[in-house]
Amino acid sequence: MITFALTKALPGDPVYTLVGERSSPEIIEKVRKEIGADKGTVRQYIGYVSLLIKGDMGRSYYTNRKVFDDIKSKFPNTLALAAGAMAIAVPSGILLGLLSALKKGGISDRVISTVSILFLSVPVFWSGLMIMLFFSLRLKILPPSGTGGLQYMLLPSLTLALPAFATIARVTRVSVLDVVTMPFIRTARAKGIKESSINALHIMKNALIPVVTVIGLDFGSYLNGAVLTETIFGWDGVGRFTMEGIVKRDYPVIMGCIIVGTMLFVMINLLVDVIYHYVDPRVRIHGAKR
Amino acid sequence: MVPSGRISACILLCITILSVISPALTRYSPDAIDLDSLRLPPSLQHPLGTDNKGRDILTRVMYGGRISIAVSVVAALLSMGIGLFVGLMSGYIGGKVDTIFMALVDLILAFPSLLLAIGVSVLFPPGIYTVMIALSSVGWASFARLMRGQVLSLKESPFVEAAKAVGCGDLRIVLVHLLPQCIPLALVMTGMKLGGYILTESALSFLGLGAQPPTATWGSMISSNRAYINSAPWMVLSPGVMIALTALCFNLLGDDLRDKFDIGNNRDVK
Amino acid sequence: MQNIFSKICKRILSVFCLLCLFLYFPACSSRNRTDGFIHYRLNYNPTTLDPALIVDVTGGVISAKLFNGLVRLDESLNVIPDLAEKWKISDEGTAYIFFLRHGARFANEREVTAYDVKYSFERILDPHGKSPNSWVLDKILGAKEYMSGKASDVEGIEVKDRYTIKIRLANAFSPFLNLLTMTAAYIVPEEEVKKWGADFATHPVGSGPFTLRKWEHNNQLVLERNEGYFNSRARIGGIIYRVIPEDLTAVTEFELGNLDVIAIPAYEYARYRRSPKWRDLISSVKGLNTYYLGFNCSRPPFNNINLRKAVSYSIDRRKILETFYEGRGRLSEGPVPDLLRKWNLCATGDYDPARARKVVEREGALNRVVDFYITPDQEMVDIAEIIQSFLKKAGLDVRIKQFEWSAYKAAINRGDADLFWISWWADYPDPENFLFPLFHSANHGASGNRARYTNKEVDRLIEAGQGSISPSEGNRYYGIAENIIAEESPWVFFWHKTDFTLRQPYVKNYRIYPIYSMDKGLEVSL
Repeated sequence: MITFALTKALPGDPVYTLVGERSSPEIIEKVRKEIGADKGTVRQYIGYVSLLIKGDMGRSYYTNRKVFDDIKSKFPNTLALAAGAMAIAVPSGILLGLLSALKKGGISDRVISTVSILFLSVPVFWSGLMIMLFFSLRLKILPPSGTGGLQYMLLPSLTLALPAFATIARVTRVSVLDVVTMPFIRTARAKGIKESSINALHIMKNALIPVVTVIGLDFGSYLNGAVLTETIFGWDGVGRFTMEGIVKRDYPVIMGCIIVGTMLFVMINLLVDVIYHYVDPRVRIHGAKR
Repeated sequence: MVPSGRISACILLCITILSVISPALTRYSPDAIDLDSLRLPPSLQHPLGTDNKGRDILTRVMYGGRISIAVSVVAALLSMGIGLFVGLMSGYIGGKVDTIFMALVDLILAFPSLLLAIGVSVLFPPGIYTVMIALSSVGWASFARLMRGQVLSLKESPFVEAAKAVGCGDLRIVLVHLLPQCIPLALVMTGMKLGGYILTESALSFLGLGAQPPTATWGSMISSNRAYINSAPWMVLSPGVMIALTALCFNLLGDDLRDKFDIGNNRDVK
Repeated sequence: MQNIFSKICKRILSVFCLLCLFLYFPACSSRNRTDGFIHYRLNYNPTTLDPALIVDVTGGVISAKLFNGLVRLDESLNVIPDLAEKWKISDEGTAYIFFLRHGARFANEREVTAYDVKYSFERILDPHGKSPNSWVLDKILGAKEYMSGKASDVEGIEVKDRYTIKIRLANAFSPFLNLLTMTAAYIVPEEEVKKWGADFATHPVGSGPFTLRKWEHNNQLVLERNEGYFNSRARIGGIIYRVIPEDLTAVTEFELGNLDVIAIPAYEYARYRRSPKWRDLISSVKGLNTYYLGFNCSRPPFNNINLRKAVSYSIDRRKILETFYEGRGRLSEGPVPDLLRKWNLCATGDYDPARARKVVEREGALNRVVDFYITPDQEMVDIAEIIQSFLKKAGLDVRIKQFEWSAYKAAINRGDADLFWISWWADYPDPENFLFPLFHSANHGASGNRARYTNKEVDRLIEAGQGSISPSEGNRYYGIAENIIAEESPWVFFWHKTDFTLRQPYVKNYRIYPIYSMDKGLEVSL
């Protein structure tokens, strides 16, 4: 409902873009009826909600294609970017977070922490531009923009991965430090069990629980970042679609994209909640922490 | 981390002061179009170069700083204010009011933040007030939740019971007893989040939803000159560095404050 | 414990590095071209290749390679034969007889006949069809009746015999031959249109020098040489059009050798001009267009001709052209592009800011607020701000309002703006196209006269020009009309944009056409 309120501030007659200016009045009327611009606002809203339930998000004012179809076709691209970003951010984040926890206070710890905070402070659209400038335009090893295979995907995924990597690294570090000082580990040490027997994997398993949560929450940052990154890199995904909708004030498009993005975010968070409940023994014992 | 906190505070102070007194420092007007000096690389006359219309970039960066920092700070304070109010009320009154407001908070937190900010911004004509409204309408939610949590834990504490016993009215309890306890926490949280506000503000002006041309903001400077990234990259370099630097300082400061006051939220670590 | 961790870390790190290397090599596959084909770039995927439906440049460019019309244009914009070998004009310019060449075939081997011409033209005018291009042929006698369903065919199109067709017009219209060079007037085979139906748009069949072999949507189109082309066949074996929406990518692909010709994007122009490697490979084409600042002449403040001229004096157009626009155009003193102007035009007003200010003050418009409408295109925003600062010095307070493209067009057509920035590109290369739609009082608003300019004398002159039989007679009328228009300044005339393209050193015989859809790809080779 929030998003529908956006629609009615639309100035301008989108019909002209669809058919060109010299079309006959008959064709103009035909198209106007098609996009429903001749009905009143309230009836349009009712129409919209009923269509939405059926999965129909209406048509773009300007291309007259169904918004749902467009989002459906561009969605896999955005997912691909998010997956690519995760593939880069998660392993490196966990590894380096671990490293900085183990060598706490040392040089690598300080370097990693500084780099992490740096990545979190840089605006994603600017880092995208800098990455494009360096790798594409100056070194010329990858294409600067476009949609397609791996070579087009690498740079935008890298851009999205940077802040995610930073978050994951920081959380891993804190979490590992937490776990390592936990009672059951100390008990094991006190009992005299050899260092190496303290199962490294056991520690990791516990430490990674909050990390999983963060990875899920961070998914939102991929969606946010996608709007900016896809625009810069010319990647044909939902993010760039949103941006084009914003520039043209194409409200069905903007609404559709926000709804889809939010739904996805909510689903991922639910998933993360479920995983968290299963995986974290503390939560199971003490009930849901809110 | 402490030295970095102090350094950041200093840098921030410098940036803020420079922004505020920028008219006195610069020879050029930020809007002065000079067709003879288009896209000049950095030089003695123009330390950061000129942009697509011959305007001095250093000047525009300084003026842009005023807007970007001011908008972010104001929005953050607004968020804090709204969040305090809602959180206190919701936590103290409890019951249906609490449920409704927390549902609203959940709703807002369900959206990815930038997308929601965009959604709010397109409701209004583009400009700095729109950005402030958008930022605060997205940001108040996490404040509210935190404040409510604080209030809930304080509600049962002895001094509140004592105040009730003495016969203090609800409003008085809230204002005089609870509020002062919450403000330090709120301020720290604001400090932690300011970095994010700067980044979101610049993203919104990059998308064209903030101050309109010819007014300079860091985000809009990047978006209007990004086509020239290959032929004149200095136009995009300096505003980006400024955003990164300012956000970095806020983040370092925020981290420092958090460590000092030892705030550990298990799930909201950022 | 730390040792185990370090070992694990190192192992994972090495795997990671190997993975990166493994990805790196396929990732930078720089060579991406097919030998024997010439590679061009398209800004976006064409929406349709059916000549009846094409309204955009991309569609026009590609369909020119696939189809033919009765006539076409050469590089000097003269009308030359295409499917018609010769023609005769009679009855004071109302009757055209075309004699088709023998042996021209569609891609399906069938010969092109006069029946195909009648079918193709009526298809454009068909009331049940959806062609937005009916205006191209609606001057034909009987067209209006056919379009409204009152007649079963168009009276003015008569098939005399297999290779002869006669077209009669409702009134004499001197640019008619130019209209026949347009995309909408291409000849299509009826049986293929019926066979493919709506898919004819993606499976076009024509008589042109190339055929469409493959269309990978949003990726590329592959055209192959038609060996049986009735004219001399193309020198190049085929054309590949790659769909690359982003300018930066196109530039990079060009420099990697994957594109053979590109249109130079505005922001790379200076770099290529300066580069010794590329600067001799730049071709320029003087575009048939005019970029202008339009006034709303129908209401205050700009119904006042002195104020309009004051604005004209206050802007240093030459400087903007040379600095901001990097000289990528020719300064314009009137609406008709220099290439089409066959008469003398008196220059109107040079940059004179002092005089501008005096006039503004005298007319009592000091500090008057005027609304300037533009779209969010970055170049337009920049130009608007430059104009804004010039007008400020003259004493006018300009408020810039940005609208998205269709909202912008609607607003201007309605007459909401005081000032607006827009351009007009030729539909066909006749001065009439730059006068009638833009300045005739019947065309206020959406038809083209967005300045809402009215001048009875100009109307009369334009109509006289349209009705002339020979171009030189028409030019006489157009010349007088343009001089009046230049004097009355319904626009501030800025420039006629010049387009620049860049080609690889191994591209030979590259010709550049003022109207892109004139290029049939016959001369170029590698």
